[in-house]
Parts: sequence; structure tokens; C-alpha cells
Amino acid sequence: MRRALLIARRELGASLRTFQGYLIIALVLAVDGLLFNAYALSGVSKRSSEVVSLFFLFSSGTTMVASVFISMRLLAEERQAGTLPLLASSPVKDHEIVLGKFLAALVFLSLLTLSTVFMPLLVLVHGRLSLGHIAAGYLGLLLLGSASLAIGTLGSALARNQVLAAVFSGCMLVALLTCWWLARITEQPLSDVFGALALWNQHFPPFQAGVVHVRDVVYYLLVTYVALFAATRVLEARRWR
Amino acid sequence: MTSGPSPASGVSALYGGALGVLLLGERVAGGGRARLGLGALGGALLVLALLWSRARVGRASGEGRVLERWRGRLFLLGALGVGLHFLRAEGALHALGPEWTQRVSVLVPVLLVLALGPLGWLEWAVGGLGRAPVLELGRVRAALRAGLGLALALVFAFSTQYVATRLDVSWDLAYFRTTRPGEATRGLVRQLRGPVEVTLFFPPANDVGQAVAQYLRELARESPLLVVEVLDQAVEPGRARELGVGENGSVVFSRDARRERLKLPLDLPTARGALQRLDEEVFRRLREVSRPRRVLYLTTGHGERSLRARDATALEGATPGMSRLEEWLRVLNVEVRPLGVAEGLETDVPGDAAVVALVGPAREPSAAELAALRRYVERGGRLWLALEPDGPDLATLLEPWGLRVSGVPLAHAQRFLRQSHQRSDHANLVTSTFSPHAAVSTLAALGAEASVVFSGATALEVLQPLPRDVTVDVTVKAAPETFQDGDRDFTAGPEEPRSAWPLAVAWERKRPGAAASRVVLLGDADVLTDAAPRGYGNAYLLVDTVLWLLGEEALAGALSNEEDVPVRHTRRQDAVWFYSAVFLAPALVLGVGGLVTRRRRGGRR
Repeated sequence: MRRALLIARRELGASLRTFQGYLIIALVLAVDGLLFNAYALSGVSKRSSEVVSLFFLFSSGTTMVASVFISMRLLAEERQAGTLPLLASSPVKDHEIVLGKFLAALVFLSLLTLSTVFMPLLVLVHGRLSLGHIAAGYLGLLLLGSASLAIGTLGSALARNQVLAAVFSGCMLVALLTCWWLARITEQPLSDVFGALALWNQHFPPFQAGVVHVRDVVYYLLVTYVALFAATRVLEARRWR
Repeated sequence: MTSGPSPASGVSALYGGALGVLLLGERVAGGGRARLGLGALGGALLVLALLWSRARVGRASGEGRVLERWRGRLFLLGALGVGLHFLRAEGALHALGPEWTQRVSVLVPVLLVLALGPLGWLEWAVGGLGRAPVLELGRVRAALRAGLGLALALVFAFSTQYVATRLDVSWDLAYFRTTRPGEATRGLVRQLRGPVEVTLFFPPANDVGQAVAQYLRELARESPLLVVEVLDQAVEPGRARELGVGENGSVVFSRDARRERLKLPLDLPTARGALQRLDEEVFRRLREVSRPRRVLYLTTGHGERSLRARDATALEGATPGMSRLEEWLRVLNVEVRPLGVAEGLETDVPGDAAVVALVGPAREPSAAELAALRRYVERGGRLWLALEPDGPDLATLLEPWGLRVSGVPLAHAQRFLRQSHQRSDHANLVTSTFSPHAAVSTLAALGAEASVVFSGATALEVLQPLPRDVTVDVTVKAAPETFQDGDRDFTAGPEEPRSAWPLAVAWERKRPGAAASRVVLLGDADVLTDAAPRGYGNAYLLVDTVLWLLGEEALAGALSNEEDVPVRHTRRQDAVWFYSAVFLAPALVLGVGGLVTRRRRGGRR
């Protein structure tokens, strides 16, 4: 774990020491701000809880997109630059490499996500809402982001370069997102399986409404775990491929 | 001895194809001959793949044979899963009991995942060794382990998710969540005089139904006279018809022949708003079935406040309506009717009057009307008076009872509600000084958390000595340092007296063997109107006053409803929000980024 944290620290430092890291945060903030003003605040006067709910709705979209862009470089960049064998020849285990890089990406995504917190808090100026609702929404965003990042890490482990990694991650995310549709057209028990697998439709709306279900928290943690486990196995596969 | 890697994967492709055909037959074909045909074809292909695999084991030698054995075992594991699936589907497991059917239902996907996961990775590894001169079994073993580990991780994930879904532990942190029974509703249930049945019609495991049932179960703990029953309309159509219910999503409150129905959406997001007001809705229906309807007469003909808002005329100014008060009275099962000369006020107050209210008259009622009101109170009636500084003081009515209205407007230089940002806002008195009297019991219980706003109030006086058997309680007082604004400049002059003036009084005369006479006098009529600001305790003042006048003060208490507040913003505020969210915040982040990277570059130099 210590080595994983070392890798995480190094990776995070690399992200925050370059201007590109701040550029990504600023871009996401601007997009979130635009969507917040265009959809949550515009038109007829909306109720406070509706405004906050809409904010979390589109923030979930930007979080997933940001996750793909943050994670695409994690392992694919090392492979592209030819530094992966160097990393593999160090005394660091594969799962530590994956975990370290994922943790760094997660901290970066958390910084990015939490930097938008002033938007729902603006509602407090002219409306009324509970801080619990905001906390639940951000917990949902962080869990969704964690699951998306883990899937992105798997995509990055599978791909030879960053573009392919983004494509792989995007495809896996879309596949998981469209599970809700498969759940609608299939019969039980397949519909139950697809329904439970749906990345957004089944599990995010409660967070958006300020309700925390243990089943949703567990789902996102399990997706994170399985995707990181698979990424580790894929990284290990270079030894026997 | 070693041999070259076994070229895979015709046999695995055949095996995968067989499973694909079986899946099509089971999940796509639906039934009948198509399912039978696809099932037979898939089964035949599966058997062929197993036989081919067996033959390959026989033909191979050395490490190649080990590899073929692994592949064959994985094939068998998957085939076992398929076989168990068909046994379950054809009902062959019924004899062992329903629990075995369930166990096999879980076992089938587990076996398939444990077979196909490692098989996929095994073929991946073997594919990579296609051009290698020798088979490196260690690599294949590592791939097999990796695949098995991944399959086990998937099984673990699905099992854990199943358990978490079944547990269904949740926390509603939203501001506007499903309500819990409020003190007023609990009090109403405690005061039930006969059994009341609440029948819920919801499909099984419906989120809305569960939320309502949970609320009602908690409420039913207050009295055994409240009986809650949950039914499914599809299963109990006869009972539903009997209660006048045609579909699920209904809650019926019934006592003898009296029935009240509450309709709720079945979908939780849609029902959210209704669930937030559930306590109020339940309170209203429980009152309607458990208590008789009462009548509150609102006097007319003297320029009083009426239920609907009135525009300004040449003779009178605009007056706000009292639709919010009417809404509250409806919740209390109180009907509002007008009472003027046409309704016989000059002769007498109608016999069914539970309360008579005279709110903000601009002109003095006639002597005959005042006499009728006096007689009504003397015989145990309930009168609610709200007077303005500019209106009549009703001295002939009030002074014999020991009450007087000063007629001088009040103002406060610090404790006021800012509305127009003019000096006239000083007349919007904010107070949270309440007596422990029943007419303000909820406000007294809330204490400093609740404040009431009186706009343009006048001070009241209690004359001493009071008439025999009369008690008077000053229920609401203005904040200390409130001044009598005689010159109406909203500024405290040296000659303008300051005090914590009485703003509301509750007057009562008890007579042995008869109902007590009760009068509530307020020094402001606007406190009852829609002009009173939301978010303050004015609603509690009105409800508790009505309950005390009705003699139902034991039912006073807060309903656990919170109204969602619309986010209102001006165009200017809109612009500030837009620029701060879209430009300012990203610019700040870029600024920090620029500083950090420049410092780093500087440090390196």
C-alpha cells in the first residue's frame, strides 16, 4: 500500500504541477457553470430541490466524460512512451501500480468535482435546501466518478495508446449506461441482471434526489473493485502474453 | 516431452457457438418449436464440442495434453451449468423442493461465469503462443488463474450487490423528504373517539406504498383506535370496490359511512411532492372523518378583509385576500361562510356559527350588528377580532369586556422586517414574545425559532378591573422598545412612548354549566392575510387561535410539512450567477494554476 501511495503522490503531483491539470478543472467548471445557468436556473422559477437535482444530473454527465479523459493516460501513456517495462522491472507489484495511478486520478477528479460546490450553495442565497442533500449528491458524483475512472483505468490497461484507451473506456461506459435499455427489452432474470448493471439509470437518481441507498453505494464500489481487479489482471497478462 | 501449442480454437469456437444458440433458444425464441429447435441444435453442438475436446485430449501429449484437459474441464463445468438450467426449467427439480430450484437458479450463472471467464483468458494466452516453438504451460496456467480470479471477483460482486439490494438500508438527506407524523396529527389520533380505518391500496414492494405505510404505522402507535391495513387492489378487488377504489395508489380513511380518499402516484419521484405534504393531507382527512365540520362566519359589509384580494377603488384601498387562511381552515375541516346584513347579522348570529371573525373593518358596524355580536358572545360564542390603527376601535363592544384598542400605529427601529427598504418597513414588527396560553401554544413551544410579523399594528389595552369571571391573557407582545408612532413618520420621537405593547389578547368568560365565551383580539388585520410573509410563525398563530376558539386547543401543534421554496432571482442576480459560474470560477482556477506552474519554473531556474 505504501508503494501505491508513493505512485499516487507522484502521479498527482505530475497532474497539479502542469498547467494542463488546471486547464481541465477550469474547462469542467465552465461547462458545469454553463449547464447550471442554462438548464437549472433558466426559465420559470424552479424550486430549490429541483435546481439542485438538475445540477447533479448534468454534473454526473460531465464527471463521466472527465473520468474518461483523466484515466486515458494512466497506463496507456506509459505503454506509448515505453516506460511500462521500466515500471514493471521496479519492485512495485502490478496491483500497486494500478491502485496508485487510480488513487491519483480519483483525488484529481475529487478536486475537480468539489470545486463546483459553490454552485449548489448559491441556491442557499435565494432558496432553501439541506446540506445533507448536497452531501448526498456529491457522494453520488464521487462514487460515479470512481466507477468511471476504474473503467477508464481498465480501458487504459487494455489499449496501446491514449486515444484507443479513451475509445475503449467510452465503449465500456456506454455499454454499462445502456444496460437500463436492455433491462427494458429483456425478460427476467436477464432484465434484473441488466437493471442491476446499469451505471446511471438505476443507481444515480437517488443521490440526485438526496437519498443514499446502501445498494447504490455498494454497486459503485463493486464496479470500481471489479474494474481495477480486471485492470491488474490485464497488466499481469503482459507476463504471459 | 513438450509439444507446440495446441491451435485453439475451433473447439472453443464450437463450444461458444453452442452456448450462443442455446441462449437464443431460451431468451429470444420465446417458446414453441423455435425454442425446441434451437435448444436441440445447441445441445447437439455442445455434445459435439465435448466429444471433440475429449478426442483432442486423447490425441495430445505432454504439456499439450494438460492444456487440453484444462480446456475440457472448463467445457464440462459450463455444460453442467447448462444441464442444471434445463433441469430447473423443465421442472425436474420440483420433487426436491422449492429451495433447490432457487439454489440451482443461483448456481447456473455462477458455473457459467466460472467456466467462460477462465476459458476466455486461456484462449487469449494460447492465442499469444500461436507462433511459439513450444507450449509454455506456465503462461497458460497464469492466464487460467487470472481468468478464474476475475470470474470469482464477478461472482463476489453480484452476490454482494444482491445482499445490499435485499437489505435496502437508506437515508433520506433531502430537505423535502417523506414526512413523519407531526405533533398536530399525533394529537388528533390520540383524541380519536371512535375507530378509524386507514386502508392503503398499493402493489407489493412499492416504494411509495412503503413510505406511506411506514408513516401510518408510526401514527397508529398513538392510539389503538387507528387501524392500518395494506392491500393490493389487484388481489382484493372486492374490498377495493367496497371502498370506492378503482386502482392502486389510494389511501382510504373511513369511519362508519364516512370516507375520505387520498390519491398518490405509484412512482416515487413523481410522488415526492405529495409525500412531503403527507402529514397535512392525512391530518385533514383524519379530521374530516373523525370530527364534525365547523363553520366560521366572516363578517362583510364594513370594508373588512375578505377571502379574495381586492383591488383599490375610488373609496377604498387595495386589500390582500385570506386564501392561505382559508386553506388552513380547510385542513382543520372548518368551512368559511360570509355573514352580513343579508345573512341576518343585524338580527342575530346564525346558530351553527362555531366562530365569527371580524377582520380589519374600515367602518364601525351598526349598533344592531354590534348588539348581535355581543349577545352571541354572552351566550358562549367565539369571536375573532383583528383591528387596524386606522379602522374603528369598536369601543362600545370591547370596553364592557375590559378591552381597548389604542388606535395608534406601532413601529420599531431595529426589530422589523425589511420589505420595501424604506423607512416604512419599521412598521413591520417582528416579535417572538409569546405567553404560554393555548391560543399560541405552538409558538410558545417553538420559542425563539418562531417569530410573527405584524404589519402596521396597533397596541391593545386590558382595562382594570376586569368584569366578573373574565380572564384575559396577553398572548403576543411586541418587542421591547417598540414605540407608538403618533406622528406616523416611522421614527421614534422623544415624546413617543416605548414599551413591549400587547399585540394579541385572549379573553375568556367561564360560566358554570355552560360553554365558555371566548374572544381573541389582534392589533393587526394583515397578520391574517396573504400579505403576511411566509417562513414566519404567522400560520401557527392563526391555527392555534382557531383551535382555541373552537375549543380544540388540545389538537394544537406543528404539522411536519415544509414547503419547497422557489429560487427567485432578479436579472441582475442572474447575471452575477452566470458570470461567477462560467467565467470567474474557471478564471480563478487558471490563475492558481498559472501561479503554481510559474513558481515551479522559477524555482527550477
